Amino acid sequence: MTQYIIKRLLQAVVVIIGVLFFTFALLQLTGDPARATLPLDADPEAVEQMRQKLRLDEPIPVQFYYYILNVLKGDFGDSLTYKHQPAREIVFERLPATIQLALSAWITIIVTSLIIGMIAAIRRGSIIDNISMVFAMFGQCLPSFWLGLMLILLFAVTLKVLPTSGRQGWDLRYLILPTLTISAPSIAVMTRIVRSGMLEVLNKDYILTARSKGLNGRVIFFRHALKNVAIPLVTLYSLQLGGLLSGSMITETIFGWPGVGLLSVNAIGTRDFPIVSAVVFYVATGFVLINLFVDILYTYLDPRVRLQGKEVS
Amino acid sequence: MKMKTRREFLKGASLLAGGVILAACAPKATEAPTTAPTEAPKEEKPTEAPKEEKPTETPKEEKPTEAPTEEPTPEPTPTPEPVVIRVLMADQPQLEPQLHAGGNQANLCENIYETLVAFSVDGTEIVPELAVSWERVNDYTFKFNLREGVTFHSGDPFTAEAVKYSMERYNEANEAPQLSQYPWGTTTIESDYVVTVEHKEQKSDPIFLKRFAGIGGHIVNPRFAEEVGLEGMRTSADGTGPYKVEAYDRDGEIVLAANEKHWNGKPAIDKVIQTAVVEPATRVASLLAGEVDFADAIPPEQVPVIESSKLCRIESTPTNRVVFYPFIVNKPIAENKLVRQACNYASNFEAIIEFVLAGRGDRVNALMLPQYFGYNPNLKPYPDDVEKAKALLTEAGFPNGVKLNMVQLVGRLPNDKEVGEALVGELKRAGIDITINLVEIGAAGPVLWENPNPEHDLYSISWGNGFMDGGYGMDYFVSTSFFSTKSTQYNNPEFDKLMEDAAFELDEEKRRKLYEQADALLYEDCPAIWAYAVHRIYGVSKRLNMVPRPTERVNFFEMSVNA
Repeated sequence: MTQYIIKRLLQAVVVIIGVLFFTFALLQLTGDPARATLPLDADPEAVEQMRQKLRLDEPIPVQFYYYILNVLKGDFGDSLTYKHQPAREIVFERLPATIQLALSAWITIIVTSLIIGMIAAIRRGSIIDNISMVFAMFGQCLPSFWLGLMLILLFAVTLKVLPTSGRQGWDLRYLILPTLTISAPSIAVMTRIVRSGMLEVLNKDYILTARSKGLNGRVIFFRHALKNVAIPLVTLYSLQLGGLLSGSMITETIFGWPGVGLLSVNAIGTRDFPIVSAVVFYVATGFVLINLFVDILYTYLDPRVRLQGKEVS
Repeated sequence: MKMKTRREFLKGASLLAGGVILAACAPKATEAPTTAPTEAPKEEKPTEAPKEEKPTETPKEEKPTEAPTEEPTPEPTPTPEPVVIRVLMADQPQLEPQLHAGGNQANLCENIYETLVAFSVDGTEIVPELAVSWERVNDYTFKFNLREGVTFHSGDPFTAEAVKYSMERYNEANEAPQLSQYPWGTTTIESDYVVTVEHKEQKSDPIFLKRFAGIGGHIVNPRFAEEVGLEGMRTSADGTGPYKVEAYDRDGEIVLAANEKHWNGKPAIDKVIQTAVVEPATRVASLLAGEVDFADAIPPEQVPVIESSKLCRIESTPTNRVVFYPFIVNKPIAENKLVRQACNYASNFEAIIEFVLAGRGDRVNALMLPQYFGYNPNLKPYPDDVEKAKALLTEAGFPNGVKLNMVQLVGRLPNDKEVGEALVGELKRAGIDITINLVEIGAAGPVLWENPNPEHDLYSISWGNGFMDGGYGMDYFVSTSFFSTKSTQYNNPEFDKLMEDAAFELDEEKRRKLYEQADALLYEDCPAIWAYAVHRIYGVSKRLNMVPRPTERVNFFEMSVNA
């Protein structure tokens, strides 16, 4: 068990170093960062000063060493757009908005897909099952930029019941349309997974045994079936959260949601590399940590993982 | 039995769902106070900062002690509803007025801060602002007589000291070498309301006065700037302008309140709430939903949608931004002037403007626009003449046409990608076969300026000329300029000489002539395909009155609202 966790931790560290290397390599490939930092008609002297400041005159391995050192200190450099402001600070300022939208979408995905998926599984072949599966297919097919704009046109422009864009703290009215847009594809995928997982478990021998013993349907469903479906679902839902936390560039752009996704779009547009690398690093690290958490959680949910660990040791 | 079980399950499931939703809402409610304070103090600081100035306003605060005797008067006076407008921009800028180069930031700051002199609404003249008059002391020195009785939003008086501080502020800033368009100079205080500014290099600079109307010329309050530092100047402001900052949230709303003590009178609009959305379709939707009074950067194809609405209309203006396609003139085919001229004869921007930009653009003859100083009125835009283009190609030794590579920058201007694609189609008619390479504006640097051996023969670019002067506009093609050395390689000694002579010529008429000659030279030599002048398109609610400025500045003081 401990060995398993240590192994996963080490893997996580390797992935994060890989991400750092990848970000650094991308920075090298996108041209001269000193030029990017300065305006087009800057003096050659100013460019040279900037090159020295950014240590671009050092060999690449030395630059990478300093890069890692700075990242460990949380220093990605100052933003090129927001002068004199560290990139880290700007990314952190945007995180609450992204976390808010991610959690809202995540809860929506879990609740909706669990309810619809379970109903579809129980009433397999019924109209409800068919309708829900058709909707699931729609959800997967619709591109989010289209869905977002259609929702705006319907609810904000035509019906005038919800605002078109923006974020006003915890005013839920502003949260509804972005949440629907960002969660639609995941609801579709997860509903199908819940349904098929449930169907698979409901056909297992132990469920038949439970039924033949005359157990209450609810007990069978929640105690025996749902518990077993839960194991793969926990992983999948957690991965969804990881994806949502990285911020949706499209949804945030359409709805003017001031999160990390929108920040990334703007930073890429203005070649604000300190912000881009800070976003990539924090998002990747967040994703890795969530994965790590899920792996550890797994050992509690599924005794086989724990036992496997013991056998190995 | 089974039916009952399912129903029970459904009930259970819906209860569970309800519970989860409630649970989901509950932590939000409790989280709110924890997240809010972390953001709030940052935002509140700036707005509170001016409140620290209350001591200077204390006499006014004493008034309320007298007021109660008057208050019991029976009839409550009806207070008029404050006029509030909502404004939607493409991005939310910071408040630092000088140390930046962003158009939207300049827009916002011009409502909060003021300059010694300013551009008139049509952008052609220099008019007084914080200076009531000025005179040229010698070739490189200006003397300004300042407006008396002006105060900053905090109540501090505006004096010569503020001018000196503001002019020296960017001299000391780290990024000083970048700000080439600033009025670099040495400021001397003659008296409380008189200053002289001497050109830093003691050179004659014909557009020195215009530089004071630009970004670098904004006057800040020395005490406030020192107090909040560079960091604080980004999120708080203390200017003399018609609007003061009531609240600032870069990720949310920027609230501007009318400066009732403004020297030019109280603004007609009491409050401006500015938010930002990158996506143009959302900006249009907000306008159609009646949520905002003003939306910036409307794409041309959305113009009919807005015009057909009962709530809003379109306001647009030609701007000082010109789009052109410079050639890399040391490349084998592009080095031939006849080929470059052929490209101009076959580009048919007349049609591109009409069909791709919905008529929202103006044909140009070269880099200069009619409103610029030094524009040559005798030059007519190249006509659409495919036969002439073919003849020129044959004369150049390419009877079967030419193949060229073109970089089209996308994401900077409305429909830039479509314009590039249409241009490819037009040129093909004359046998000019263009391979187009779309490059995001963010990646322009490595492709255009950091590439000593570029594959492309020509590329798209746009150039905004805030000073409306040939010296600033045609600089692009001077052989020693950044753009010539890094990309076009254009080197025309005759053109260079004209531009250099004009740069130090203080006689307006002589200088005008020199620029007219330079303009004609570029027109004839075609170091670029001359494309079009950009129109700025705004979506405006029907109740809002405004006049769009060619300088692309959005001035709230000039706006009003119909009752």
